[in-house]
Amino acid sequence: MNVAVNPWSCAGHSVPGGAHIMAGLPCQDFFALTNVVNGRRVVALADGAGSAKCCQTGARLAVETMIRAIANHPGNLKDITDVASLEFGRLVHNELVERSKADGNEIGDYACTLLAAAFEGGCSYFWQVGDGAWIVETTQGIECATWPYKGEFNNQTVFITSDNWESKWTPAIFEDVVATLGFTDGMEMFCLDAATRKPHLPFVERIFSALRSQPSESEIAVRIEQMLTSPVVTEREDDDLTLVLVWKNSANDPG
Amino acid sequence: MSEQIDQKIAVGFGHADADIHGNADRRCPTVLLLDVSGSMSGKPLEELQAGLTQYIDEVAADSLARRRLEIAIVTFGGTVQVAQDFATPDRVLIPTLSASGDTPMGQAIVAGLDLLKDRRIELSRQAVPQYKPWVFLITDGGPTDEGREIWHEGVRRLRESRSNRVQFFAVAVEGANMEKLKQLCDETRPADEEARPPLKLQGVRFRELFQWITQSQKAITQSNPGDKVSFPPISGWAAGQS
Repeated sequence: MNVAVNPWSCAGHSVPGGAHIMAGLPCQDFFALTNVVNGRRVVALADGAGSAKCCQTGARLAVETMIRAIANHPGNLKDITDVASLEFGRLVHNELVERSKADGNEIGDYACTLLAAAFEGGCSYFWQVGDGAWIVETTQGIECATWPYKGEFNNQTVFITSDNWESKWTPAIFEDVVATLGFTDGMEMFCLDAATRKPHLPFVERIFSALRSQPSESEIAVRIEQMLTSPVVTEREDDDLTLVLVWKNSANDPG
Repeated sequence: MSEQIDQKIAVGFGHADADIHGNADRRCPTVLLLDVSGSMSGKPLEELQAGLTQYIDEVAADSLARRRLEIAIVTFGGTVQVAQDFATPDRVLIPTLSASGDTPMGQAIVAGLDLLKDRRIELSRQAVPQYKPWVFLITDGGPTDEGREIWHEGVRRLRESRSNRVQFFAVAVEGANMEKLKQLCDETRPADEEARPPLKLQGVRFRELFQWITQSQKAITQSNPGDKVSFPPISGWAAGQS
């Protein structure tokens, strides 16, 4: 039988930021990686807004709902329309509305950003609302699949719970992706070059190059954790940090 | 893993400092408008100098504030001088203040907001993310250029800046014209911003004032999208505050 063992590998890690540790706050980022089901692999991450009292619940619920919506969507990934894509965001938004009502809270109490990606065959699909970003390495090179949304000032962005989330919903579709890097806003200053609006290549290339030797998922998870807790990162950023990697297994062994 | 890992600079994926530098950190531009008119001479000026020095030293010692604050200092006393154009705290040369002359406050506001405008254009050009800028006015008098065109321009420019979310704080030292400062704060306040009247400094507690600025700015420079930043109480330096 000629079955691909696992076309996409993925690994990720979250750490609470220095400021959160000092303030006795937990990590308000959340991420999840699914197994491959029917050839589709889905990952999602969310950054809970520090000012929102239930942001941890919001981030978790947003990630879980988004993953379920994408994983259960019938048909091929590449055929998902813009309308269907927006519906994923609506499901998440509505889920948070329902949760806030059930808890007797405001929707804004669950404020979080949301980034999701799905991989199936040669198609890679990305969605985002808020900050953080997705960077892809394709056969053509390395580029940003999405770019963080920022307000005029640094501590402003848009959340999936915001009234105007639909207008900031950013889907992107790519072919021939070999590796993907997704992160919450704490990693922006390392992974992105704001002046050129491109990936910060010295940083990103080093990560992608580690994926070319077909490492195990657990090895990469350890490396991500080491990086997120290393002084080069923690001395420069004290926000919560989440980074996920998805890479294509180039040589799928015939079964 | 067989590779050697330098715990200081290269863990995980082996990143070195060189892989990271060159990326701009977000910035919080801060303008200090300091009254050095003749009436500030003696103890008030000494304490202002001590408070300013302590402020710069402390934010320069904070790993995040050091990279994220950009401070400009404008003095006004007889003339208006840009004592320090925008610089991160570790690069600020603390000016030696000396007191003389009248209080050209309107001109100082215009000079400070000019610096801020240019800096924000440059930061935007370089796509550096920004926090809301802060402008502090510290005075023991009232504007001696009131009634002149430059004062009206100062008021107009401050109103415009505050409507663009510049955070303005007026601090009155003993002897200040509180009525005039209150009027300035009220006249330039955006309709949707809560009133922020001038605060009166207790005696010459400049050190406590700058300590408060330091703590508040540390909180700001640690903040991230969506955070509501709460400032420490002002009771340590402001009169009439519990």
